[in-house]
Amino acid sequence: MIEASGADWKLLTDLLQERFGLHYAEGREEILAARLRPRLEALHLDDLRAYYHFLRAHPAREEEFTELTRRITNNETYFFREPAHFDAITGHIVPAFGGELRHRPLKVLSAACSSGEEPYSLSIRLTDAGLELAGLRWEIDACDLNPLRLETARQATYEGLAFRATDDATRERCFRQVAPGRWELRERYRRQVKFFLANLAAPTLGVGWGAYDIILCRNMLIYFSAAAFDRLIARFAQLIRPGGFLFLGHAESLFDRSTAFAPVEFPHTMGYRRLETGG
Amino acid sequence: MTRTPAFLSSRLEALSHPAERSLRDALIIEALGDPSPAVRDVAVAWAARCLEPGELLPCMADDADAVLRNAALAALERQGPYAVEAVGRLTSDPDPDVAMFACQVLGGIGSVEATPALLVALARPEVNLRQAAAEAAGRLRARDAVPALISLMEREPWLQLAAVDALGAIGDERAVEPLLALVPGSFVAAPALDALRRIGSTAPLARLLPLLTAREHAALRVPLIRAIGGCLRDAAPSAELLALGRELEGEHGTDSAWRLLADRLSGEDDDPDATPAAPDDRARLRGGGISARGAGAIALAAGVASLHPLLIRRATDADWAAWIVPLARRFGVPAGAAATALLSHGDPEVRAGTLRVVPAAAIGASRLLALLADADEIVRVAALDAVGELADDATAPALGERVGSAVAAERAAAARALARLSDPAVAAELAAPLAEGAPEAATIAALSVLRHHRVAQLDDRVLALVRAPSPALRRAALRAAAVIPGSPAEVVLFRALADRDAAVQVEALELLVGHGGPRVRATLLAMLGVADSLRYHVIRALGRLGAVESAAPLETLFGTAPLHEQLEILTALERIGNARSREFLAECLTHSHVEIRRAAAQGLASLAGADDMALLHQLATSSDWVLRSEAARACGRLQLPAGRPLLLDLVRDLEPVVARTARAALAGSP
Repeated sequence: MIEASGADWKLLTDLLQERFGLHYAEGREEILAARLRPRLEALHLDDLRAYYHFLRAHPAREEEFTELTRRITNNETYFFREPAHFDAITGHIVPAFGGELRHRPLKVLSAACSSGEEPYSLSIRLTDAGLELAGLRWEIDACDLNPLRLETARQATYEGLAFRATDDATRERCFRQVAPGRWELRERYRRQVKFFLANLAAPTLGVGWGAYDIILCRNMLIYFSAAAFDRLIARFAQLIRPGGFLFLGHAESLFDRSTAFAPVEFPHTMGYRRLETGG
Repeated sequence: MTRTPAFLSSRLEALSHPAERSLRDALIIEALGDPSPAVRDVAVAWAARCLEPGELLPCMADDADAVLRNAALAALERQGPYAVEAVGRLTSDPDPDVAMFACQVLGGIGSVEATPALLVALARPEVNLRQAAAEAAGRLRARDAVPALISLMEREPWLQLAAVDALGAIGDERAVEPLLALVPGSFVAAPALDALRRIGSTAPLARLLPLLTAREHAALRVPLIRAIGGCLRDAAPSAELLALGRELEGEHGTDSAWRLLADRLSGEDDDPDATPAAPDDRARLRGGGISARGAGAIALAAGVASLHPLLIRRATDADWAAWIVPLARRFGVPAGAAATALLSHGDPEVRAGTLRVVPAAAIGASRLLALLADADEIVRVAALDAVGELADDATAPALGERVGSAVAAERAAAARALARLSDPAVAAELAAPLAEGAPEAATIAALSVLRHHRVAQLDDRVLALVRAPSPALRRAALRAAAVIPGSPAEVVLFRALADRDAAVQVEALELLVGHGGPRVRATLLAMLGVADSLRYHVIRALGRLGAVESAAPLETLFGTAPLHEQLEILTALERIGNARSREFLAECLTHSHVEIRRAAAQGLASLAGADDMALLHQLATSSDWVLRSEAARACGRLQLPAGRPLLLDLVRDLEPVVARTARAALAGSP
């Protein structure tokens, strides 16, 4: 355990919240300490306050923030997690958009995509649903804060727990084995997915307003402070065109938190439709 | 008018002028009863800060408005030690509900000063009140309440339950016999067992062991496993334990105690333990839950050999090993043929765990050396560590060979083991990896041996490697060179300060700080004049060395240094800690940059003495919570009666971190 006072922890966690919107509840210091200890050792720093000073003032602080994101962001994900969302998109939302998609691609943002399992899962499901055969196109933008995870996403090679919800037949069909226990996603499911580095808590997200039909931001907001949560939902309200949809993780809800979205029920799950007005 | 938390905060902030106090207090009381929890949270913080306990006490009697009463109770609890005296008086209030709420608040505050007030409540006839007092006594860990709590165990069931839980929390051995009397026949047998576990005395073992295998008490087996595990913490081998072991081995059926122990040991998680019973249990959850630890302790202490593979494989994890290894060695298991069998077990984790658990001398060098060829890396590394435990020069060739291993963990373990051998043995084995043209990884591993075990005849080679082309090699060589006495090593460390690789420079600086001495200090002082990236580290090094002569140059540099160096300078001055540094830090309290003011306050809080109460008062009344927190920290460090009023004010701070720091300081203040 890193020696630190309550004030030191608060200074650091407030900074993480300010910078990334991530909320570290009290009592999670031990987890955070385990992730930070290697950084303190690498920088030859004695304590948490010195590390806080480094992040606040050192000329190399931006590089350190990048290093920090690799350690503190939660990367837990796997293929076809919460599959009811994908069913809702392929079975209800795409058909409802109808002819509109004859003239332009379906635009999806996978926010906080980690190592890419979520956008690739959607790509597989959209392909399997026969959209290409029907002459429909789609583009999936996928962003994350962690450059290492994005690198993994671009390489599209996975193993072990990433397939915990994938049946063998799907894995055999969509991936090719490159080493014992390691599988690479086939090119046809990769080409419509573009990855980019982005901090969801930053003032600018680098994408245009009204750009997306669907945003997936699942199991990320639980780590955000209430204020950062509200800011991001307001940003999503700008990024999704009216009538578009937002999907959150099953433990996250917009209940009583946004006037820009209305809840919509789908089989076994729910999403939020961007209203024409509000927000 | 909408009353959001933000609006309420700003309104209350605006009413901070003394002339508006009554308006502000009325607004706080009104907001305490607000239907919105978020608004009430803000009101509770302000009530704790601004209202006297006496102003909140009337709300406790308010039967008509439970919302207001609960908010007032929360505010009193948040006031902590500041409210203890006033709330304590209420435990003798004629209204038993008021006295009961008072007990709840005192339990939440957790200050042992409240014990006399709780004893008053424990002696009253009202059952609900006594129950609340018992619960509070447990939260306070009030040893003075033990006799009163024991007397409650003859009373109504819910009083028994509260008393049993409190006695477990207090952990006083006086409670052992009364608690044992409740096992196995009473309805509070399971809580009583949990209390016995937390007390951790060996006394109950003789009575508890036979119950574990008794079919008629099968429902109590999980609490029994946990309790026996707790009682075995300091136990010695005994005939009763061995008898239990034989009995457990005799019945492996589905409903047997053996099966339950096996389940507890093989479970990936320990569900019934997911919520620790007490804060002190929380840290113990790493390395197995309470049930798993209990089952493991029984398996070892009673010598249940059939369960050993399940347990010993866990010893490959450091957190599990931390309790399994000492316990296994205390009870001398596994040993002899059983240990030999485990070393040939099909599961590599069992083989590796056995190597961690069984003393190396008991396994023997030849068997250990054979295990260095095991198919599994985890076993080979454990075998290398065990070979190191032998500290036998005859093993040197085998260890030397592994220093050149392709597996990093094996190289490191071999280096650790070699470092424990004699000089000639180390010298003989390191000649090859230190030779020109040896693989870099092997040379680095060899240098890591010499970092912990200097061999004089290899000094020249180490000093030569400091000029190696690879930065990683140079860093490893510098670490080994730092343990060489005399000036040649100092010279290479000084030269490395000008290395072309920044990481090597910093490494050299760190090693020089370890060396210390006037030459190092003079060199570092001279380096303050060079404005490069190393200066940040030089400043810190001077602070670590406590170089008093650097105080004046550091202060001079402060005026032109960039912010990150300024912050390091303040930290260095805190470490130097002379009167001049203290004065400079005090001047920085008015600096325009908030982080400078905070770093200065941190330094002053570390240096303040008994004559600095005015300064601490200045910090305590700052608008910046960090400065207030530093004031609380300083008062806690000084433990002066003069600091108590400041702490009693800070304990009600709006910023919870400040309040907690003050509360911790008060817990140790006179």
